[in-house]
Amino acid sequence: MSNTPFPGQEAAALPPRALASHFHDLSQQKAAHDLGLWIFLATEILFFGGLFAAYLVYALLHPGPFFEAAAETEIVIGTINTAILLTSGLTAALAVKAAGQNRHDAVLLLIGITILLGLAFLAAKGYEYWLDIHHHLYPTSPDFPLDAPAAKLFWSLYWVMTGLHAVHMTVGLGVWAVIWEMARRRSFSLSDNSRVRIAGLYWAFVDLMWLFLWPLLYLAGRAG
Amino acid sequence: MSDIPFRDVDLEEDEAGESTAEANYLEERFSLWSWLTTTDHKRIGILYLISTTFFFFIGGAAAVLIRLELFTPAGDLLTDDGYNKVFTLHGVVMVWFFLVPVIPSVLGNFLIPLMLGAKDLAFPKLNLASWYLNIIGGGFAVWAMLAGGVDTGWTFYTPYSTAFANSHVSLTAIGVFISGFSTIATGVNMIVTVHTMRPAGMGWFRMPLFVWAIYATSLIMLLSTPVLAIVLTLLVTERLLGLGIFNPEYGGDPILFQHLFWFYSHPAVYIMILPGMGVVTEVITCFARRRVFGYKAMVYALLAIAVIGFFVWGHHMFTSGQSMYASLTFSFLSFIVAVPSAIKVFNWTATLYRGQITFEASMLYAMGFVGLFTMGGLTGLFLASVPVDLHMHDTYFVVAHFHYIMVGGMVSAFFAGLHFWWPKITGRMYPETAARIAAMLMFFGFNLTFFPQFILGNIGMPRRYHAYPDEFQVWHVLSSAGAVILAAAYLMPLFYLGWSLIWGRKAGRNPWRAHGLEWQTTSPPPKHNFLTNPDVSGDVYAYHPRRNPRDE
Amino acid sequence: MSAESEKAGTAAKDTMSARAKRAFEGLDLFPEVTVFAALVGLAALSLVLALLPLFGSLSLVVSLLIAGVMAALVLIFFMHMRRAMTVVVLSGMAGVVWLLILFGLTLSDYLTRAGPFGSSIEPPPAVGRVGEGERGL
Repeated sequence: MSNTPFPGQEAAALPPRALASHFHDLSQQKAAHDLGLWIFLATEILFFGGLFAAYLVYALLHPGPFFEAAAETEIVIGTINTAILLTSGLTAALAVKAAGQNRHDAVLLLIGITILLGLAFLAAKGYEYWLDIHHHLYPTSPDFPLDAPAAKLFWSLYWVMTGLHAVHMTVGLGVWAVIWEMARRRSFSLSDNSRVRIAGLYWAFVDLMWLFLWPLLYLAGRAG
Repeated sequence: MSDIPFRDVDLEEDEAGESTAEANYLEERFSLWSWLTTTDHKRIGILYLISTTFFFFIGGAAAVLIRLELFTPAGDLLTDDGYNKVFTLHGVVMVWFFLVPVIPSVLGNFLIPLMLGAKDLAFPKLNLASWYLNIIGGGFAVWAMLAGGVDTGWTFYTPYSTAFANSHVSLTAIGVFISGFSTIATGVNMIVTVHTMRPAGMGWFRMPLFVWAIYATSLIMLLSTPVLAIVLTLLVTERLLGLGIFNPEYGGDPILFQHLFWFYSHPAVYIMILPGMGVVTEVITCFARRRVFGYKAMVYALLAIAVIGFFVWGHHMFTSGQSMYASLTFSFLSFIVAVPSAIKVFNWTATLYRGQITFEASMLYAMGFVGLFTMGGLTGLFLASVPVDLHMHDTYFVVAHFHYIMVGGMVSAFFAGLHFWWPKITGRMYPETAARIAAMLMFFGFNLTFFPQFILGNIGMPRRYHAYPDEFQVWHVLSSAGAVILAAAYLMPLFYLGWSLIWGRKAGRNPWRAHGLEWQTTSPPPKHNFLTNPDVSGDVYAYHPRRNPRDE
Repeated sequence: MSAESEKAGTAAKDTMSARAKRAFEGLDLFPEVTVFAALVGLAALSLVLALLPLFGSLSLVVSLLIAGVMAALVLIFFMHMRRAMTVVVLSGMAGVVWLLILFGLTLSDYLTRAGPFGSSIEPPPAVGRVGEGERGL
């Protein structure tokens, strides 16, 4: 509505297409988008944080069996996944930078690589889950390999924490895929529109969460 | 223009004077599709009004069943399981589908952009999404109810809910989880709007206190609701997948569930009351023709309640088996959190001093709020004391305490706000006499319903029981009688407000001669809120009996 | 004919990789690539320290501290926190601070219960649990 010129109005006087009609200017819109996403990320910190609280409590209450259970995670796959995710964080950050400079081809390439890396992460995770199930590492398994009851606490947390993270990654990949398609069709301005920047922030956050999940679930209990 | 002209704008003049190029937001398009796909914050506020009213009557129906059952000492109307399901339904629906969203998503949605001179909230499409999330979540809860209900109590305590309950726990928990996204979306929208869309000239300390109240509420929403989401996730994964985070057989602690649950649910009660406090300030200042006493103190009190409210959750767990040292810490902090609330009560009272008070219906509701909230708040201090709470926990004393705040306080505040802004929202005046009668009836019915419950709790009536010793009956009969009156008082507005939509006198731009930018536009407002840029130069509460009298 | 199509084919391949090169031409890869290298290095360090018996029961704390440093790098360089608005920084901090409130006051219970960090909760005998298949949604 705000982009339809009145008779006689110069096209140059039109507000940018990326500007929504209820904002005064692009800088107000960008500020709103940034603040909105960061507030949402704060809620995500608290969402995962509940799981960290449970981990903290049980690690303090039952340290022996808890960390003994932690040694059973697939450290190789977990570490490879960390490397994959860090790389995708790099490509996503570069995609945001490229979008700010309206580099259409670079953006498509970088988002594409980010998506491929994310899919690789999920594939590795799927294989890892298969291995975990194969080793009966879920609490309701009659062949659960560890005796101490608290080991089942760790393994309950493992499934919920990694599962929740995988859900967030999947959502992130979906968002990137939609943005990639829209960018390919050149249906939005790369530098005026916030979406690449916002997707990049979300993706970096998912990366951030993994940086804490990895030591908690994979590096714990390995010493010696 | 530094003063709102108090001359009541004449109906003909309004219609002739205003540009007819833009229809008001109600007339702009009539189709159902235009309503269901709207991104106009005003229409979304109306959508929320419809859905919260719907849920209010579902929760109210459950309350009717409860009070009917408790009329007699024997558990004869409902089975034990049936009664458990009814009070659970009452709690779940009233907390999550009525009290949490009602003022922020009905009045907040409608008014925040108007009060800030903006065209809409920061994220209009997210706003619409929040409504759909709310009703989808509610749909799950209703589905669970129709499929046989859930009997854990609205608090879903483990290990009953995870290991032993045979009712629709997961379905209900999923419904509440989805509604949590709605809450978070609303909170994000409100905070971003207040930060980025204030008009030039409206600094933080020139905003109406209703905006501050919604802002503080949104802070709580955003910081507490995610923890509810995760604890419900853990509940469902333990129930459905056996991932026993709270399972004592694995060394898990059911009390950890309570810690995580109440980390949300205590701040949630502040989510439910802070918006009401904002409404009350707007109404009292207008009908006493006084600026609010201690504006900054009121702001800091709102923020203090929001923050300190996060430190007190363990007072719900004094009898749970948590450590005594934790209990003492939480008890001390719970006494502290009462202070800012008390400051607000003092300031409302001081606002009335030397005012020119008139008793419109919204003023009656607002003053009822102040009295009933005070009673509820003071009885909270009783419960904050560990020795007293060990005796009172899970008795009707607690039930009376929180109903005084939630119903006597919050519902009164909602009605105050609904009546105050009804002319702005609909362009119609409601019948004042009927509204005053309903307000007084509500006050009387409420006290008759809930005051006996303090006595019941004190003499030992447990919560969530439907069969009780004969000597308690007299108080239950009084309470149930009050409930009948209360129900009538709640039905009355449904009728006369509905009546006013068709036959109500057309309201002018500013029938109460109130301040606030929302009163500078037409009633109802046009789609983009203002036909001319609103003037923000006036003082936010420029009421004074002598300088800005009610009459010319 | 075939020579022409061969020439066209080579030209097409040049165009594609040339396009990729041109896409990145002038795109400043710093500081992102340096930060990435640092992150990989820190991750490797964390892995090594976790596997060696250097810190005993504190090894998880060390891993988490390194994770904190990595998080700071991601926040500052990939999420541009340095040039963000004050209110954005406050939002992020609020999330962390509120998490600490959750941890702190919850631990005020668990750390002060009977026994050294002990919960006095004994697993109850398994009585009357509803079987998994019998429990509905």
